[in-house]
Amino acid sequence: MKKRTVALLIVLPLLLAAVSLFIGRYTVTPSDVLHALLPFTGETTIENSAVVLQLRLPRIIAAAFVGAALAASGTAFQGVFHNPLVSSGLLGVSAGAGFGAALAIVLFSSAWATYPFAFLFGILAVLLSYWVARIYKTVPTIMLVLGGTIVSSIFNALISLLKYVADADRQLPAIVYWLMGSLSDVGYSDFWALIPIGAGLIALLLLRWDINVLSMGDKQAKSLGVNVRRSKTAVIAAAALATAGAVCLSGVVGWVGLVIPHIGRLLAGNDNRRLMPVSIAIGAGFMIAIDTISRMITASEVPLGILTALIGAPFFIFLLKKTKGGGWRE
Amino acid sequence: MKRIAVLFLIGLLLLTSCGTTETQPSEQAREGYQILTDCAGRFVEVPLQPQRVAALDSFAGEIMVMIGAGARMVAAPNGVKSDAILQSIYPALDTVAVPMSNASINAETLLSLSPDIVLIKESMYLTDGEKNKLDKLGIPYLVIGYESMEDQLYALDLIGDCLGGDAQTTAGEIYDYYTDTIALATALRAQVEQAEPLRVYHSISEAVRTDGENTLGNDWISCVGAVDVSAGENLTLAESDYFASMEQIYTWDPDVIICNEAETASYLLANEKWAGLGAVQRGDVYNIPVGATRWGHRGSLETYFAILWFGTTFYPDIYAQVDLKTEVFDFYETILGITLDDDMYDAICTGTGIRGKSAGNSGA
Amino acid sequence: MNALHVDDLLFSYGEKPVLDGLSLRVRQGEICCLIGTNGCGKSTLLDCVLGYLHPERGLIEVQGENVHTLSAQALARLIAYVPQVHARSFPYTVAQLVLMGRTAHLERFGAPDAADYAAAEQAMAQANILHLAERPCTQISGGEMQMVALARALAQQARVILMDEPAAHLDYRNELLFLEQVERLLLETGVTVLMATHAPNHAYYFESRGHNVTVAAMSCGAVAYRGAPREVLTPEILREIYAVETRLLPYQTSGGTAHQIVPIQTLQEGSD
Repeated sequence: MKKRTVALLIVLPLLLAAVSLFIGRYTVTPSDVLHALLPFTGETTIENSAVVLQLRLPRIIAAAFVGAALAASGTAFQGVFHNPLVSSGLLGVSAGAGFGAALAIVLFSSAWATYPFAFLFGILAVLLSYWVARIYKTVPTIMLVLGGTIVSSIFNALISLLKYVADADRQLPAIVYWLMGSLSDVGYSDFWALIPIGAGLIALLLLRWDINVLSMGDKQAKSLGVNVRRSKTAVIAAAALATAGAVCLSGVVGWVGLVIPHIGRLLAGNDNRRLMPVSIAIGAGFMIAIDTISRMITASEVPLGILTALIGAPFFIFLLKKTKGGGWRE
Repeated sequence: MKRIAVLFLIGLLLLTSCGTTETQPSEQAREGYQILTDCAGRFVEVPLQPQRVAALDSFAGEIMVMIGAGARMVAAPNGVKSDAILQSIYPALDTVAVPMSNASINAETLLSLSPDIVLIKESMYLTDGEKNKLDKLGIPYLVIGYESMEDQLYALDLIGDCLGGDAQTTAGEIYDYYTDTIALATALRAQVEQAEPLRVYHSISEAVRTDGENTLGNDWISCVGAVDVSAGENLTLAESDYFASMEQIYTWDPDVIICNEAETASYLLANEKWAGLGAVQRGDVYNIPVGATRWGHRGSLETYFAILWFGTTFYPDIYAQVDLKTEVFDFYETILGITLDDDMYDAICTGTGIRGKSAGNSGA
Repeated sequence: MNALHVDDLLFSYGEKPVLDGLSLRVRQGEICCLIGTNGCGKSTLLDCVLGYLHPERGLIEVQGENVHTLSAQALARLIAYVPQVHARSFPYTVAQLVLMGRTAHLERFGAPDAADYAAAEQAMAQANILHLAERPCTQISGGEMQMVALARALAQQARVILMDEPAAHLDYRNELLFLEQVERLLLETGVTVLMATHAPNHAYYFESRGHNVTVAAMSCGAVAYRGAPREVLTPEILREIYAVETRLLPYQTSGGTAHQIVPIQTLQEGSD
């Protein structure tokens, strides 16, 4: 893949973000969008500037971060667990965060606690998975995957329990809505979640060579000179932090953390030095596009999880056919 | 051989058609029973003056308490039990059993309450699993629907007929009040439309959850002569609820926003994402009062008060003949048999303190 | 100084010790063939030397340094590893895989620079796989893959290379190709090799080429016999260790008399 193509991919999310600012169900003329963004260029109505600055801009920024975080975490997990079938939700982050959000909705019946609870329980789920997998001071990869599966299933059961006891009229719809994934509620006050996402992304970018080596398996990684336990823990922590931040902003959005890394692999190869930034760029761009569509096509919000699969899957299949599988072989 | 098989099949058909409580209208009810047509159009043979009624739906439960039949209610959903005014009508309300969780019946618990009759909501009837449970129990059940004012009136009448006695009389009084109110609103409607039909956004529990088409909310808002902005819009149904997108609400640009919960109203007024809306800038965000039930809410009976509240709040000149406070005080005094004071009336208007905050938390 | 010094090792996975009182010395520039039955602890010994497993007792020194006090990176500069089979979880290119051998020489959070690329390229040239450089590792043969693993070990520029049955899955020609490659490596770079193997003739092969070969035969969690191939790989010792009747056959080469040992038949275990 040429350097120019990589550069193009990196610019893609910025381009999409810019385009996305101009489109939506509420009609704002391009010049009004410009005035809203840059007040010195001219005046516009309060409605216009609220739509652009309060509705569209925070969503676009959040979408970019969420997509980037899910794609980067998925890439990292696939590498560290040398398993191309795992996704960012491995280790129970999504289920834990979903439970945290549902718990906050049931306990407090108001929105303020949802995001912090989702974040905390997402992290808690990862710690639990890690603890389950720890045997004889080592954390074997297969045990981690197993631990993540078990912890996920526990939290999923707890979510069902909460849905069961929640008030059908006011709490249940909120839980269901949250679990389907949406960025419609995101405002600047939730932007603290960008800090763990940003920190996680930076750490994953720094660790991308280590992820390469870790994907050789623990023994080989060790023999190649990587402190396996420390590096693996660092990668998992960074990915979990980013995912927890993302899930608490957007709710549970499937698919991105599994398939975007593979789209990255098809386009940029498997070397994480190139793959990681490309995944981040594609994830961010993809999510901006999906969220823009979600707020455009109907008068309601279409849950993100539905769109990611419906729109992403054909694209993935197309790439798969075009690159003849990108070097995979049984 | 063939003939035997045919006979066998006929026998089987006859067997399966027995054992159901659904009856043909031409048939006579047994002694001590009557045949009622429920909201799903089923003919159901039910005992006269049932003493043990399981209301598995909040609308039915609220009606039972309001028409003075609380003591005959052996089961009710949590939502009914948390309302302060219903509790003052029937103080033993919090001892009523809850043999269900959300939309799912616990059949054995229900059976152990040995109800004479069960009242369920339409969506439960349409869920095969729940319907099968009830069919197996063999207890007669009535389906209660309330997606429009017409539905609500029919259901009120049905529950009154079913219970009989004083309860039936009270139900009749409420029925009359309800229809009188509709008649009043219909009479004043032309004036409202002439003045300025307000374009209303109706938020239900959550800021972006709204009525959608063919709902009770649409029905009473248009009865007054105002326009529910969510009607006729192509909203996507998410698990039986309609959610609007923020930009869609900006596109609607409603004149006023009414919320069924006071919390939502204050949230909207404080949230930066809503700040650009004209209605929010003007401060035209109102909470709908909450009395014995939530006024104008799809599962609540007091739609007539929602109409009067809307009229007196937004069209005080046209509704000059109506004094909402007097209406409420009189209605509660004469029909529900409780005397309100000013504090309680304030609580009703501000929508705070009437319904338990954490309805549903106590589990099943 | 010995390249590798293992002294009185004790290691167990549970109750039963796998290695018990194992000692071994490998001199600089020597190739030591480690033989023994399946499950006798060969791989466990290699894992301990790699620092991947931690023995309960005993000392392991590589180039005079204790492997369990060295950092992973410092250790990787001393020892490289060629696995039995290479897990191909992702279709990395051959060049990318070989480049990973440079990890031990990178700064923290660093990425390979031009010098590392040059070293990797040289290693691929040495292993005769330059033509494969841009091929995905999922699309090359098992024999080629072992060469890639060897090239990666070369790129690591360690003085000691451990190999865990590296030729076990190779066909007749590829096995020999691999041995020839190792032989060239021994000549050109003077590395020390510890190679676990199931083929006693590997040791005879290296001996026939005039290399400094020793054989360590493991039994009961310790090195039972150690010495030159002719001293250890005798019909008597093989009968004791494998319960196999064998015959040592001499043959003439341009360099003189060489030997191969051939199996005749299995024996009842414990018949000796």
